[in-house]
Amino acid sequence: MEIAIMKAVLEENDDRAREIEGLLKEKKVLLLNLISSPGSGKTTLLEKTLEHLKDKYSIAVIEGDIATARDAERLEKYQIPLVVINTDGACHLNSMSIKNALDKFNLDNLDLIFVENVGNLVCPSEFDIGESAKIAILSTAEGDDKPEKYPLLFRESELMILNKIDLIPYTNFNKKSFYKDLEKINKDLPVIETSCTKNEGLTSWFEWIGQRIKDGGKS
Amino acid sequence: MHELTVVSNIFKIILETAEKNNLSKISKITLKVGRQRHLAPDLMKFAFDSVSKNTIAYGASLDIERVDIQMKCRSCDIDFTVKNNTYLCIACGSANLETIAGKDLLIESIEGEV
Repeated sequence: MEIAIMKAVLEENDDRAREIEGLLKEKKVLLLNLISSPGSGKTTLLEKTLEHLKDKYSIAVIEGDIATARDAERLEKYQIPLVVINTDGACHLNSMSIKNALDKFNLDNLDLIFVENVGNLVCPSEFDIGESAKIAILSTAEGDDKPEKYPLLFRESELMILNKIDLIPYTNFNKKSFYKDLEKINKDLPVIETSCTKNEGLTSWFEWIGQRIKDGGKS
Repeated sequence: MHELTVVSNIFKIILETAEKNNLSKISKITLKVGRQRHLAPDLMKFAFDSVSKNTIAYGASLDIERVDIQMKCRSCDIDFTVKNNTYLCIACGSANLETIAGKDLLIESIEGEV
């Protein structure tokens, strides 16, 4: 016999994500989901960001890490609320674990939460966590073909950071073909080119965050 | 390898359905998977066999229907299928699009014996 089900496989994750979205709107907290490959510079970008913005805004971080707390240890010096989610091998964070992490923060006092997702260009983009925006980070050493190879992330993101632009002379990264591909996949996606070691482009990133907080954050 | 998470969810849902309908064996699972999803059918089958071992669903076939990516242009209102990763309206070139299909991930039905 055949039995019709017609049920979304990720319904549980999506339902929880919608709850988180509602909660963040009510509390006027911006939650940015940072997604990239391992080694693209997510943690360094966070260090630079916290250095610059931690006195201006009240910020917390959720660190997704397969098995260690090494990224979190790098951020401890900023003395901000910080939760580590060890995924025990799983390649992505889900909305259930984010909800548990949010319960440990006082959302009434926060402007901004960064989620550093598990380093992976594929899986994290499949799981909504109720974020205000997904942000794709790509470093030039990974190659200019990544948007075409992993289109979902570049479709779903509201901002893209092209990091390590100072390394371009040492790689075969072709900016022209990168932007040509991106125009096909997500023409309206804003791109900020950064170098965390040379402090390039970071002001535009801080301004983008500031604008988003102004638009939907605590007044 | 998020196929494992996806398959675990599928497994949970079909077992609940089988229990409600007093099935003693699940032989086929029909899924709809949008082409925007990065899911490898082979890996899903492999993951399903590991998750379902020693249960009434072990050995069931996964019938995966891939759903094309469909967009609606907000500028000129036409619907079109995305090809070659090109998310630009085929009529007016606009990138202001609304997704109609392509992110689907749905269990349509199961087949089994009472």
